[in-house]
Amino acid sequence: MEIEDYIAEKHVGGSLLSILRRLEAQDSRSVCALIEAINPSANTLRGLLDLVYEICRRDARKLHEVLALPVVHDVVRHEKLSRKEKQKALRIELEALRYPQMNSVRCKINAAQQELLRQFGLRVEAPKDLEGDTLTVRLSVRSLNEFADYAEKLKLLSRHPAAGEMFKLLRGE
Amino acid sequence: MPERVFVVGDAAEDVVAQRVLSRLGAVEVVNLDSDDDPLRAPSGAGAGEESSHISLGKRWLMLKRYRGKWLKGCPGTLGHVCCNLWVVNPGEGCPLDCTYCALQHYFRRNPTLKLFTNTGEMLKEIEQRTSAEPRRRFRICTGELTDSLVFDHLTDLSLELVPLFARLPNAVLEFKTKDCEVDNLLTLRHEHGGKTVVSWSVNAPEVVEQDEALTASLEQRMNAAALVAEAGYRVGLHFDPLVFYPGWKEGYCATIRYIFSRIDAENIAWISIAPLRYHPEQQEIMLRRFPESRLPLVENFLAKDNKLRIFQPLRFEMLRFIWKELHAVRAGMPVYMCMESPAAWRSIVGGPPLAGTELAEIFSRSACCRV
Ligand code: SF4
Repeated sequence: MEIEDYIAEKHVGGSLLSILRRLEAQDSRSVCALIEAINPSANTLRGLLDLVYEICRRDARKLHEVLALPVVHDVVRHEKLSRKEKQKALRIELEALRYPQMNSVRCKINAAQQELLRQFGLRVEAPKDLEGDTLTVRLSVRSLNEFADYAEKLKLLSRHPAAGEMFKLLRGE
Repeated sequence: MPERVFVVGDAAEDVVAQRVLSRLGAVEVVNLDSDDDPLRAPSGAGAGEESSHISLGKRWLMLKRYRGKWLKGCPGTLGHVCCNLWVVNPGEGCPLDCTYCALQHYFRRNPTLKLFTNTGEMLKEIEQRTSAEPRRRFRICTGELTDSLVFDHLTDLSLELVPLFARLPNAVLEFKTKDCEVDNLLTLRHEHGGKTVVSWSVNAPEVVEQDEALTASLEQRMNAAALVAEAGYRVGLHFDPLVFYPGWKEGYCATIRYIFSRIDAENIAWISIAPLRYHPEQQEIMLRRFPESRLPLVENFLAKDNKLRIFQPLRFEMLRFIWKELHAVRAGMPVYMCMESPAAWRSIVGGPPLAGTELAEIFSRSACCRV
């Protein structure tokens, strides 16, 4: 596929059009390969390229170099993922590259959350945007006994290092 | 120095306008009937057109009368702890050129620099308002919409403001600057009465170097700070914005060490710390105007107050680090966090600024109560 075919097929306009038409030869080939692999809408492609350009600018790399990174390449060439799944996975990988520290904190929070879920069957949630100092636990009970069970579990959970870790991560300690 | 000056209508009769024009010397002067900004962007203007107007606006100056209310409460920000600052704006826009400056976005549609020539009315309003509420303490800053001192050599405004505040029992004046022009202030060493605080925005050396074009160097700022401290003024410091970059800890430590090698911690009125935040539309302007700057590429997110902010765990780490370093210089250093959440106060300081009393105490202890 040529870039111009994609432009015509998706009726690309505005800033994406000028980005696609300004691509250097090697970058253009990489973007074409990407389009063939994931068939994104113009909006999706624009969102992905915004992330790629920010990474390029921060790391002083070329667009085709970022698209050739193993984590990106692995998603694009994945044999079992559908195109939609690849789009989603690619966005996650690019966000992890663009926001490495935020990603690392999120991964650690997820790990602590999974640990608590595994040990106590309780889902402890950090704020979605990591803003604030409140963890949330939601409980549903059918009887007073279940209340008592949860009370016991919460007591144990409060002493578990993973719960402390979640607070520390949120507070940047 | 501006390349072109626009004088609007009656403003030509004002002493301030005449003073500014005489000090500028040979400069192109254009008389205007209308108040409209000569660089006013049409409503459909894109970021490209706005960005080039912003750069040109920093080289053009409008002298005009201000028609609104002068003294206003600082707007603060949604869901954040406010330090109860009051502001007056003797002008709008700034000829210095920091990559992160919020004024680029705020004045993107009318970017010409402005100096108001009827500042006598501003002084009157300050006097009337503060005397009408004698029990309230006013901390009034002139540096919200411009740099407080960058035009002082043209306007001499400080020569009127400083003696006025010396007479006001319940108000303190704050100049906030990245300049080093303090000659007028030094002439008032026997008249300021301890009621004026001269504050400098400070930053890590790398940030000053790369993101604060045309400003005085940190050394020049601290030379000026040492001079005003020697003349009996108290000094304020604003670590604003705190910027994340590889090596930020060393950078901010170096700045703190340098500052306190030049000025005595006893002379400090207050210190604010405030991580980088800006309106999302400003990102585009920054990327266009400062293609070399890494600052728009930090790890930020869109917060509830519709500002891009550094994500919390990193932001709190930075705040905690600077807070500790400043308190290591002197326990009880009057530090506050500007526009931070109650969670920041709980996590970093151990509790909220109890119903405003902690901040109120900082500000009253620092200046008003000294007279
Ligand atoms: S000194 Fe202040 S007002 Fe002037 S450009 Fe820099 S941030 Fe903006």
